[in-house]
Amino acid sequence: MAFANFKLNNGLHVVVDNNPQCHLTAVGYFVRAGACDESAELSGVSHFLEHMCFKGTPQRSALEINQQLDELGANCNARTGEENTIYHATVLPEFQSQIVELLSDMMQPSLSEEDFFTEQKVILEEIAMYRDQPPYGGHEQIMRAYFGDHPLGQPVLGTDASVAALTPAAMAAYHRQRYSPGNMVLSVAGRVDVPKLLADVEIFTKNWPQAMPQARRFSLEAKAIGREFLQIPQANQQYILQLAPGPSAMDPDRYAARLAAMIFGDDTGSRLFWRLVDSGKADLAAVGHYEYDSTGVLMSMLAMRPEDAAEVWSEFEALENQFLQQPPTEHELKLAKAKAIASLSSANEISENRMFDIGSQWLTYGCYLTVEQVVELYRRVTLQDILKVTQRFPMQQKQVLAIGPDGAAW
Amino acid sequence: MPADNQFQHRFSNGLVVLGETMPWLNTAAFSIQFPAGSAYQPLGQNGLAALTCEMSERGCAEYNNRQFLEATELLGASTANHVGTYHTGYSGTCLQEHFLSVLELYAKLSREARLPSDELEAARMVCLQELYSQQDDLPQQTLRTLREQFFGPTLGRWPDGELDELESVSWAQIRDFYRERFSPQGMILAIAGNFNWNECLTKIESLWGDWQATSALGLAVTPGQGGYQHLEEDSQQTHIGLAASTVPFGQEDYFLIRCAVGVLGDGMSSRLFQEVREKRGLCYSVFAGIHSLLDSACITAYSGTTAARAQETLDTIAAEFARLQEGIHEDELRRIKVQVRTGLMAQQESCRSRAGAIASDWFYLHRVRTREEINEQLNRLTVPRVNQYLADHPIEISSLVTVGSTPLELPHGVCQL
Repeated sequence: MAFANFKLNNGLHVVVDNNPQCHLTAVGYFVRAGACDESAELSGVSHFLEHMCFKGTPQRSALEINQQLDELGANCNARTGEENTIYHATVLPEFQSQIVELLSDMMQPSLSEEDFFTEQKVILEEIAMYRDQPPYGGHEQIMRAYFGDHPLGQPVLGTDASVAALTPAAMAAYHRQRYSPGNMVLSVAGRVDVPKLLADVEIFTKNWPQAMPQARRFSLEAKAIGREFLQIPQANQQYILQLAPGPSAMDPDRYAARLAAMIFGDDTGSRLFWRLVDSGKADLAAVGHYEYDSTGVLMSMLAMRPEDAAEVWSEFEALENQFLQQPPTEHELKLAKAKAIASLSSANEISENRMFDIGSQWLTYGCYLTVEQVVELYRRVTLQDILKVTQRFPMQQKQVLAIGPDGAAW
Repeated sequence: MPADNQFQHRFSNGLVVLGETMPWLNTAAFSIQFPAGSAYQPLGQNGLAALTCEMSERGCAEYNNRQFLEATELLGASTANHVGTYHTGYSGTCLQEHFLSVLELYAKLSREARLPSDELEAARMVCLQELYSQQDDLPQQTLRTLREQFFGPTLGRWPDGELDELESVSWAQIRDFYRERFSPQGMILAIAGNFNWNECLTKIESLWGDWQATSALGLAVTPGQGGYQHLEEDSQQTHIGLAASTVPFGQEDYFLIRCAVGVLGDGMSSRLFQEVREKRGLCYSVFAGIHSLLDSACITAYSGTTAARAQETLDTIAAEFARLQEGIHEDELRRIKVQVRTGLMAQQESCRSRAGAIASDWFYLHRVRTREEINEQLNRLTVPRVNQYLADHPIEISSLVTVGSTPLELPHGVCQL
């Protein structure tokens, strides 16, 4: 495998992981644009813009984009998060040039009024869809409560009101500012014709307008500590979400934090699993560590019968306390490392995963660690490192949101 | 003719082992299928297969529940289980150097599960929890009801079980189901990835070769009824599922209809995506596909949309089903062919999906298709052949399920049989 990175004259970063043994080519544009870049009036614009990139460019109609994606056999999708928007497609190597041209064209959408107002209805449907699905908008509510005015508290989809109030002009201004080549990374992995790729991208992106990307505003985190209940009368289960501070994407303790989260709350084989899931007390009990540029969170999620909620919650809190008093053992650390390392090694074989890995790393860090280097970082984590990170981030300052049919028992 | 990297062997006890080497990978994967799916449960015991599967993972031979899971995790194996209509299956992937050790663990699970009676209630709760959580998943409830309605009470049963039936399953029923259905007779073991076939086969013979088969039970099938069913839910969206009978996978005409259904509802240029979402903005999610069993199959379509726009969504979907009979176009067929080719190449990067595909081919076709064979089949597909088939075989929507606040009007021709 050969990793290489390039910077074009227009400022666009191109990262490549070429493996001639691969059967596919995976391509992705990573844009530093997410909910955290939006003002309150623009809430939801990053995600709406992601949809609009599929709705037509000066060269192609929406139908032509969709037809060409399918014609290239492209397994194509896009996602918007708090900090980034990613457009990606995986194709047979023979279609490398065409898919790079198409995705590059999509990065400069027309944003026509007609398409804008049709797609607005689709977004409102998407918001309604998530309101019907567990945890019924609970994720957005707890992020807002925990982060307060910090940009990470903004909902990725926006709200019915904010999406309905968005205009094509406001979206175009946002696009000019965030979709500047210097604010983007093109990531390509699998079987790649590198010289052709570089020659192509130079041409496909040469007319992209440039803008000085605005620096991200990072206000101080509110880190609210409290409890809320969201009543959903038709829910059959009770869901409990919890947010507590964790290391950021820049924090050297993040590898230890990920292993500690696995030992405590991985979806199989963890302390939470054996006590709450294997025993059948809860349908779900897991903790994940999410890393952002400026901060990180440990997010816990529990799901159970409403009548069991109080008991499950009290066991969960007892396990949290016990985790501090009875820190992880060598055996637990060994198991967590084996799982983390095996999952990295298997994922590495899929071109699409490689593309996500190098693209995300470059966007976040502006540098790249090989899988072997990351494996080594996990191997080096000691029990002392785990102890240190659990003491730095003890899951004691936490925001909790319960969602269910009836708050009386909560 | 199998390709150079494909292997197969049948042991005298009935066990079929299928292999495909992928030396460019560092990993290997297995898929073990036992004829212990939901269709084989006695009527009134839906949940027996799921509970037996859950109990089978709670310790075997010298391992207790926790020791077994930890042994697989220490070997870096990523494993899963699945209960389907015909099979209970176990699958896993790991680095090649641990592959034989992981197979050894699963041989113990399949032959010497402890089925610990003191863990029965915990195992039952795990299965019940799964069903409880599905009650909040309205798209899944829609598709579940549609499946039961279309395929009937034997084959259409939801493999995760039925609440009241699961509650009454006994330990003795689990023991008997395990003894009868976990047997080399009808068992398929597919392996794919980086391994040495001869070395693996020798190991597999030592693990399963002396296992005696139990007599297999047949399957008496009660067909489904079709019709329209509305489930009242206080939800923002109305969920729509519909089904039409078609030919199952394995029959000659399957590829013709599979291709037509791809044009109808698979991908962003598909007719449903274009007409329902792109032109009218009626929904976020709309798609169609084929759900195939051994001897029966249906074309299914799903969409979820806010209540006020549900009728228009259903009418548009029904109109697109009707329009399909007029035929498809060259550009549509071309797109479907590339999609299939890309999907085939994607399997070359994942030994796990390749192992699953090999096992499935064997079950439905009694052989494993090579990539060349599928490509030839694709090349033989032409617009006139697909359109002739569509003209000769009108698609009739016979089952409709809606979940939401109000029932919908039946469009012309829907559920009119």
